[in-house]
Amino acid sequence: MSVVLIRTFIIYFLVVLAVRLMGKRQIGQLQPTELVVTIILSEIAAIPLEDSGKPLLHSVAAVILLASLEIISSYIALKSGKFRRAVEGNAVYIIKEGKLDIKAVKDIRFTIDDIMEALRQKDVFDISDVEYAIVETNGNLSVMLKSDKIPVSLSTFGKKSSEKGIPAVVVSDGKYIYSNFYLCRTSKSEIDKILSRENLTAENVMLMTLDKKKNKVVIPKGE
Amino acid sequence: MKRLIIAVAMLAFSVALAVCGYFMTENATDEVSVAFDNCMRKEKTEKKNIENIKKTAEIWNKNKKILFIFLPHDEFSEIEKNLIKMKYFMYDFNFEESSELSFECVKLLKKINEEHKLSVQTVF
Repeated sequence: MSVVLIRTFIIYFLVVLAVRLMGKRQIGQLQPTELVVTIILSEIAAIPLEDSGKPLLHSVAAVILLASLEIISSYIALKSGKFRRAVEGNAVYIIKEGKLDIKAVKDIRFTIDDIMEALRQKDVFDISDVEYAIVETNGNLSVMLKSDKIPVSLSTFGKKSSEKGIPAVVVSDGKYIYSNFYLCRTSKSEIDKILSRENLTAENVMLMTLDKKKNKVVIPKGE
Repeated sequence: MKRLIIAVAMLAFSVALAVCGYFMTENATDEVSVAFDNCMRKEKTEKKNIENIKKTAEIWNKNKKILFIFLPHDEFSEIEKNLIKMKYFMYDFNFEESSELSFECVKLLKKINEEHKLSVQTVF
């Protein structure tokens, strides 16, 4: 039993170290410690399911230990910058003031194709439009466009838009979705009134959305 | 903070589980080993020999729950088999065969104890 726990300790730190050494390319969306816990947890959880001869308590203890280690390490990371940098690494600027930092790109072992792909996923098709690009600790790319390439919005012209809120689904497949009524500040009687104006009842409606400004979309059944 | 307290409690629980498991399995294997040891000693009457085996079976059944909770189950199937065989041999008045099986069980228990003892070899 104690052997299992010590092995879990060793494997946890070993895999964290390995993932840190592998770098950001292998990490994807998760932080290194999260990835380690995910990998080990899935394996450990499967052992007693695959082999009934193995005591369940071995896996239970290991999972408890892993979960507690993950929480404690994230708490220490919250309190200590040094620990956080050691475990999670730093965000890396690959484009600074419009210039590609080749050294930083080589350090994190990204290819130009990887950068172009990540930029395209951010709807940026021309690298010269980018002022700053940062590879975050979870491997995601954050992009800040040059000021003359930022898409225009109403605020660019100093105008404000009135808030219309999110269009909420209030009727779905002939049934009222009461939990969404508060999103568009409506009631059942108001929805019935709107529908009756269109010679419909809720039972005949496939989908109805409504926003705070009472803009509606109604799709009757059989349309 | 609440989550941290839970995490520390979980850590303490898993360590306590390991420590308890370690000592409980050691005690259980020791107790069963002593019982099997007694079976190896020839008593004055056959009835007493049979009683010894029955007592050993009782001790085994009492301790096997603990052993099955903390140790891999397949390690004990041989002991269970030997215990059944021992009973048959003893009813057949074949003390020598029974004693040999008893010795096998002691060896197995010692091996299990060694395998699960906290040491550099077992960890690595």
